[in-house]
Amino acid sequence: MNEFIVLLVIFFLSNIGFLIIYSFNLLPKTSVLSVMGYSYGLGVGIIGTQLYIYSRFSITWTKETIIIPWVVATIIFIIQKRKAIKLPKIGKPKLHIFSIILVSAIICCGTYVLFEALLRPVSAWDAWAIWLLKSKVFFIDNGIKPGILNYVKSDYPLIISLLGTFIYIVLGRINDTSVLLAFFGFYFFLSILFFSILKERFGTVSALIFTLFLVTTQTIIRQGGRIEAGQADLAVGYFAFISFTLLIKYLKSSNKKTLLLLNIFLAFTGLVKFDGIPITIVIALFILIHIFKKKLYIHLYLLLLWIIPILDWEFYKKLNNVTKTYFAGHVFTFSFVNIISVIKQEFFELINVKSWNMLWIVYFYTLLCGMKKDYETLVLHTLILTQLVVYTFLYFFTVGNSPESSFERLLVHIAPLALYTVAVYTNNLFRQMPNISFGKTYLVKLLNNNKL
Amino acid sequence: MARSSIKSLSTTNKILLGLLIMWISFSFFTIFFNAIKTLTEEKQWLFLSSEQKKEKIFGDIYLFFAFINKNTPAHTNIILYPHTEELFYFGIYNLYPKKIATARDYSELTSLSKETQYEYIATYNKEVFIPHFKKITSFSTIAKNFGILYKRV
Repeated sequence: MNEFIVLLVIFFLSNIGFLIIYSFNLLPKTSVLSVMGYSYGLGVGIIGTQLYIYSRFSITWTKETIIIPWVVATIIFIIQKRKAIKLPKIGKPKLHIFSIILVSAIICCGTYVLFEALLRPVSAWDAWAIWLLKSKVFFIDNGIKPGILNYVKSDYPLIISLLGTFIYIVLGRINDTSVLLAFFGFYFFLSILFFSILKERFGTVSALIFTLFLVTTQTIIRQGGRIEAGQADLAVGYFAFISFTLLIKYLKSSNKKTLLLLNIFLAFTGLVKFDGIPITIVIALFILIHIFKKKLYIHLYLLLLWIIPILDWEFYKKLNNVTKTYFAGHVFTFSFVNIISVIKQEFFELINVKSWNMLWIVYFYTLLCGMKKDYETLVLHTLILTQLVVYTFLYFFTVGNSPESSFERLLVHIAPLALYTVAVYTNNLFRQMPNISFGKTYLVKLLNNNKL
Repeated sequence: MARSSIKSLSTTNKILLGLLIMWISFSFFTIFFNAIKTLTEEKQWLFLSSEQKKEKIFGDIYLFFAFINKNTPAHTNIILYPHTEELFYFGIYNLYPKKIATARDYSELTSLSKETQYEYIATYNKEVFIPHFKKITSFSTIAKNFGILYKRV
């Protein structure tokens, strides 16, 4: 029963996202599947913000005070748009045998991750020592008592913890097994978004192949439902991927609404975990370059939507004397031995096929071979490499950090972007070989013709 | 036809194609491997209660906190001894809204015990003598780990 309620919560959160995107027409000319992919992230961020604001203004957290505004908004939306609402036509897709195999494999893997998410209570260290610890504490306290952040020794932003708290509020009790379904939600909606974005660009078969690569990556499986579920890294990866796709949409269209949504997601990316901030800065820089290049100065103020929530969180901590900060806990150091050891450990993680399949090997191969040079791949490489350089420098110069303990998790932040980069390169390769057949399956022909 | 198409590719692309084929194989292998794992290793979890699962994951330390929870009121302050990162964070997670502090050594324990807000001392694999605290209960496990709970008198 609890699991069913959490599934309803996931549906509710997606509904909030869907409602906002459609009500304000934030994603014009975007497929329903893509909007679904964005919706969960938007819902998670909005509900976290709602709980945070309620707590700041001493509004009690109850199911009614949190959910009723959204139910009312949904009813108003349905009444206003009742004539325009059309159920999407679901045609019977004619799937080629190869596509059927891929779809079946993806469903198998997704089912396995869902099963794993339901199987065990939270067991990853960071999950219970940081994210779900705060979920539990906020639920018991029915609010965010600033002093408690010092007690739990964590100054991480609160979106993920508040997602857990929201689930506990709806359940009416703490359940550290069912709550993991929300983390499966990131796995599920990331896969949907990844597939839909690739499908629009490269066709169904190519999209299915790369979605299969995504869903079968063991580290992503572990964070999506296996023993590492409950941590925020997959959520950062999901939000970072969303932000990248919206950046590309904005660069192509210069649409103000897309920029608005992008900045909301940038704020969420930074507020899921600090580690998302370098990505948001790089994306903001690309936005600024575009704005100045196209003289769209009127768009500049939208960047405040990204900056203000992150600054607010910093001010909130300063105001309430939350003293535990990352740099206070990690002393700076410099040692050549450490640098060599970090490089070695990172290298071995990147070639760890057990955790990553071929992802990082192929990514660096395509990067070093310099196969395609355009603005999109420049954005992708800048995002991925900036994040990698930031992590590496933290390992180089701080005590108590080693790639062995966290590099695998940190790579999850950029894994969807790296996989997307590989997809972009590979599509180029497929175009060069129109006649290759694998047995009876004319895979490449299919890829090039976008046939189902 | 296919062979000539592959031949026409540059060496760089041939290598990329090879890597992708390996990647697809690994992906299917992952699914197969996970399915086998579900049928062999994972099925044992299905029939365990939530408490048993936690015991299986965290071991005796979970039993230690269950023991503290059972023997102390919901809102109280407890000193845990000795200090380990695991004991501290797992303690906060399992015992909240009880508030805890951990003592790194015996002198810190003695000093904390003088603060009257602390009603209990819980020790894990240690036996201590602290003035004004009396042993009220204890527990031990098959692995010979033990916990003792002291109450202020």
